[in-house]
This record gives sequence, C-alpha cells and structure tokens, in this order.
Amino acid sequence: MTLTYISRGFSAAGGAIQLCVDESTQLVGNGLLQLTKVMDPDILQRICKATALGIAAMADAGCVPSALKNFKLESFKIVLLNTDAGHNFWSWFRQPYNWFKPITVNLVDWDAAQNELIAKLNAQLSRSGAPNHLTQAEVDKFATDCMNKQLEHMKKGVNYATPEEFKKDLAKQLKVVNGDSAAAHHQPAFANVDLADFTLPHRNANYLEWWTNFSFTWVDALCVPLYLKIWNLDPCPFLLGKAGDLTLKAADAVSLGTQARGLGETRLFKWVSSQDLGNVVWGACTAAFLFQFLEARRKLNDQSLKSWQMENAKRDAIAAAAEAIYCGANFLTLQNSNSILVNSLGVVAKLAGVWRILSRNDHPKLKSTTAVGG
Amino acid sequence: MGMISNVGSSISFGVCRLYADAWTLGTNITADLKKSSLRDLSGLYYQFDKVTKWSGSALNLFPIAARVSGFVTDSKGLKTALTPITASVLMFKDLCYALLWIKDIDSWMEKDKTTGRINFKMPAWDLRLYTVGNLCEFGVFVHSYIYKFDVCSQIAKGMGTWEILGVKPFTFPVLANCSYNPKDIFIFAACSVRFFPYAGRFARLTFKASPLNSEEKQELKDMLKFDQVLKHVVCSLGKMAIIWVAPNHYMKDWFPLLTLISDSGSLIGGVLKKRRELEVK
Repeated sequence: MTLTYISRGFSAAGGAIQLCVDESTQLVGNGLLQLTKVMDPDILQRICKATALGIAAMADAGCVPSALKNFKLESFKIVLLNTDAGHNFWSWFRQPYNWFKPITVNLVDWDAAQNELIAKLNAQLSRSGAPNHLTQAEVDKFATDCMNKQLEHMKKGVNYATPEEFKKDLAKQLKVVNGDSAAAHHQPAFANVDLADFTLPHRNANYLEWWTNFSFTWVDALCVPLYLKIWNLDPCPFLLGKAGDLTLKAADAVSLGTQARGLGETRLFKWVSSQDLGNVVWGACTAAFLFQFLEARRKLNDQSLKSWQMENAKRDAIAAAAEAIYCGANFLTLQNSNSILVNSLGVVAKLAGVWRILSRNDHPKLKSTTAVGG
Repeated sequence: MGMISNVGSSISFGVCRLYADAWTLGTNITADLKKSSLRDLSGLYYQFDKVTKWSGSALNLFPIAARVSGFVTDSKGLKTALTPITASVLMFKDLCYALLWIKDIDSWMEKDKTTGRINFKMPAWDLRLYTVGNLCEFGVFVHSYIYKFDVCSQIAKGMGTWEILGVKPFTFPVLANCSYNPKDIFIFAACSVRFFPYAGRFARLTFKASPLNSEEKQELKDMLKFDQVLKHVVCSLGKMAIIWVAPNHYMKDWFPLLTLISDSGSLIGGVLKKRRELEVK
C-alpha cells in the first residue's frame, strides 16, 4: 500500500520535474531565438554604440560600479566603437539598391493590387470559355494566396525598380500556388494567367521620405572619407581623444582636406576649407532624423492610416526625435563641454532605435473578400 | 589483366569526365555571374562579418603586391601607414566573430509556426563543430577585451610544456594554435568533415570505370554548383591551410593571401546563399 503511494508520488514528482525542464528549455530556446536578431547589422550597430556611450558616460561621471572594477572597460569600449565605425563605413554597400529599386513593400497598395488580380483572374476565366465551375470565393482565395506569397517575399527585403519586375515575380508566384497540388485550388485555367495589363497600384515616396533618404545617402557617402581620415590619422582616436600622437600622411590622398583647401582658394567656396567633415556628417544625420520625425508626425494626423501603421508612426516619432536631439547636440559640438549629458542622450537615442526596429509591425496578411466582382 | 583494363578504363573515363566537369563548373560560374544584381551588393553589407576579415587581409596584401610589382619601393612605409586602418578593421572583426555563435542558433532549433513551440534538432557534424568553435571564439574575445581569466592563461601556458611519452603534442602544427586560439582545431575538424567526403565522392564519381546513370549524373552536376565548390573546396582547403601555417613565421607572407582567397570565397558563397533565399522558387 505504502509502496504504491510512494511510487505514485515519485511519478508525480517526475512529471512535475519533466514539465519544469520542458518549460524552461522552451523559455531558453525562445530567448536564444530572440537573440539571433542581434546579428542584424542595424541592431548590432546601435547596441554597440549605446553600450560604448554608456561606458563613457559612467567613466565621465565617475560612477563605475565596484563590481566592474576588474573589467577592462576601456578596451571593450574601443572595440565597440570600432564595430560601430565599421558598420557606418560599410553601409554604403546597400545604397545603390535603394536608389535604383524604389518600390518597397510599404509603397504598394496591397488591397488595391489584390482586387486588381481578382478582376484579372475573372476576366481570364470568362475569356477561356472553359466550363467554369469555380465559385467567386475560390477565385478570391487563390488571388489572396498569391498576393500573400508575394507580400511575404517582399517583406524579406526585396524591392523592385518597375511594376514590370513586380509582375514577373507575381507570375511566378501564381504558378507556384497553382502548382501546389496539395492545395484545393489546383486549376488548369490558372496555369497561364495573362498579367500584361496589370498596373501595380503603388505610390511614390512623398517629399519628406525623399528628403530623409537623400540625407541618409549623404551620411553613408560621407562616412567613407570620414572614417578613412580617422583611421589614417590615429589608430584609436576614441581612446586618445586627440589626433597627432601618431600622424601618418602616406595615404593622405583619401582624406578630403587637400581637395577642400584647393576648392577654398576660389572666393565663392572659401567657406568649404573651414568645414569639419565629422560635423557635416552630424548635420546630415540631424537633418535626416528631423525629416523622419516630421514624416512620422504627419502620419499621426492622417486619419486614413490603419492602427498598425499608427503604432509604427508613434514609435518612429519617439525614436527619430531622440536621435535628432542626440545628433543635434553633437552637431552643435556640445560633446566637449557636456559629455555626460550628450553620451546619456546617445544611450537613450540608440536604445530607442533598437526598440523601434524590434517592435516594428509588418504589413498584416491580406484577407479574402468576396465583395469584389469581375 | 582484367584489373589492368579496369584501371585503364577508369583513367580514360576520368579524364573525359574531368573535362566535362570543368565545363559544367565554368558554365555554372558564368550563369551565377550573369545573374549578379544590386541586391547582391546590398547582401554584402549583411555579410559584414566576412567583409571585415576580407578587407583586413586585402589591406595586408598591399605591401606584398607593392613588393612583387616593384611599383612602390618603400613597402615597409606603406605597411606602417596602413597599420591603423588594418588594426581598426581587425577590431571590428573581433566582435563580429565573437558573436558568430548567435548565427548558429538557427541550426540547432526551429520554431513550430502553428504551435509556437521550440523544436530542438541536431545539425550536421560540420555545423556542430562550427558552433563549438564559435563559442570558443566568444570566450577568447571575453578573455582578451573584457575580463581576464587567470585560470585560462595558466592552462594555455601549461599546454606548451605538457609532455606525453617524450612528445610535446601542443607543438604540432594544428594543435599549437590551441594555446591562443582554441577555435582553430574545431574549424580544422569541421573543414575536414566538409572537404574529405566531398572530394572522395567526387573522385569516385569521376573515376568510375563505367558510364554514370542519371542519378549519379545529377549528383555530379549538383556537386559542381559554384557555391558548393566554394563551400567544400575553396573555403575548406583555404581555412585548413590558414590554420596549418598560422604559427609558422616563414609562411607569414602567404597568410593574407590565403585569408583573402578563403574569405572572398565564403563572402561570395554567402551572397549566393542570400540570393537563393530571395528568389521566387
């Protein structure tokens, strides 16, 4: 009798332990999968910058916790700043794609595109003259599946230069969805849908978005000579604080100083020679984030937007404002006089940027609507 | 007699097939090059961990190129001038490489889309070894930039003097790296796991003494895709060579060249992988 109770107790305890282990592994697994997002360069760059600025602010304020006394915070900070600089340097790689492929996932009017595809399919069915035993709901479902597939495809970061390119991929998606024999809607009538007069409903970037992209292009472009200059003059400008301890002018051709001086000899461009490239980049950054903030502010007043777009606009407004304040403070060279405040602003701005990227809402999946007729 | 004719026919078959293989590989490479687009350029940015190492070795290569071409006589001065930028690039590389184990998490678990539960799985042997190696790299990063663990330093010191039957195992080429970079031995093993089965299968298919059936033909065709060759031959052999010559000071000049080859290979492979991911299938 007692033995059965004991064995029951053991099995119950075993079940509880198994449940605990299972739940904790699920928790750890989820956490680790969340961690993979860190390898996104945009997030990694911001985390590095925030941590480095945090260390700098703590050191300046003299409030490094005693638990961190044995840590090599200074060398860690240099590595973090180098990582940030490296990302800034290489980010021009992605600019040409943005210039020449302007149709992004957010500029396509997906609902209108879905309706247009349904109309195309209906026209195709009536034109083929085959005995049509498809209900409108089935045609609708097929079109929605294709459009959702294309939406998922574009969400991965695929842009298009022209509606023609979009159409090519959409035609492939139609074939894929139709060829999927496991699905219910495998129809020979959909094997070759004619998309010749499919006009992709999309809008162009508005002028605030255009100015934002324009400013960021200049930031990315100017970061190349900026970091080449920094790297050439000083191996650890962030540690030593002032250039000049190690001046090597062998690769001076990449720095823009000589060109600026040459240009400054003309009276019209005299102001050019007195500019600091770093400050110009900070100014361009400030402008870019200000434009982004204004665009987000405009969206918040737009009644036609959906709730997920509104949430995005709110986060954009907060993060862009924080970034603009931080970049503006650097542009006005408050860094020297008030480094603790500026570094703290930087930590807030970068963490807000990470928060914005991680919590950004994507375009939701399209729902099938039978309201549209052929 | 029969055996000799078998060897002869396998050689004659092999020579003919090697020509065909080279032709297939060439057409595959040209097809991949023809398809290159702006998206691949932006894909380079997302392969940042490889770009850093590649650019660092390219910068190291400048002095060698200068000396070989005779264009710049003062290669030492050029190298000194490029030292800061090289140091900076290598520092960028250090953190990116320390975080590589995070990229491997995807190969160990996947999320079930319907139930939202995590399913753990066992990846292939090369990926397992890569994960262990990348974790070692993370440890080395923490040790060198954040917190110095005295125990690790003592173990590394002890390794060099450790003796078994009058032989010091940690003075051998690959094992010698263990004291300062324990990642190397795992990467060496992973690259062997990638290269030798691939090379063996390739040799068996190429020097088979009878015509191939359609499945074997398809297998050979798949093996000769550009990214497969890069992954299994160029990068694996390159990395093995790098690890082999790393502590050898006589081979120091070849080190950047080998790094350039293997890292460009893995960079192109990564771009091709990204491209395949973004294609409509």
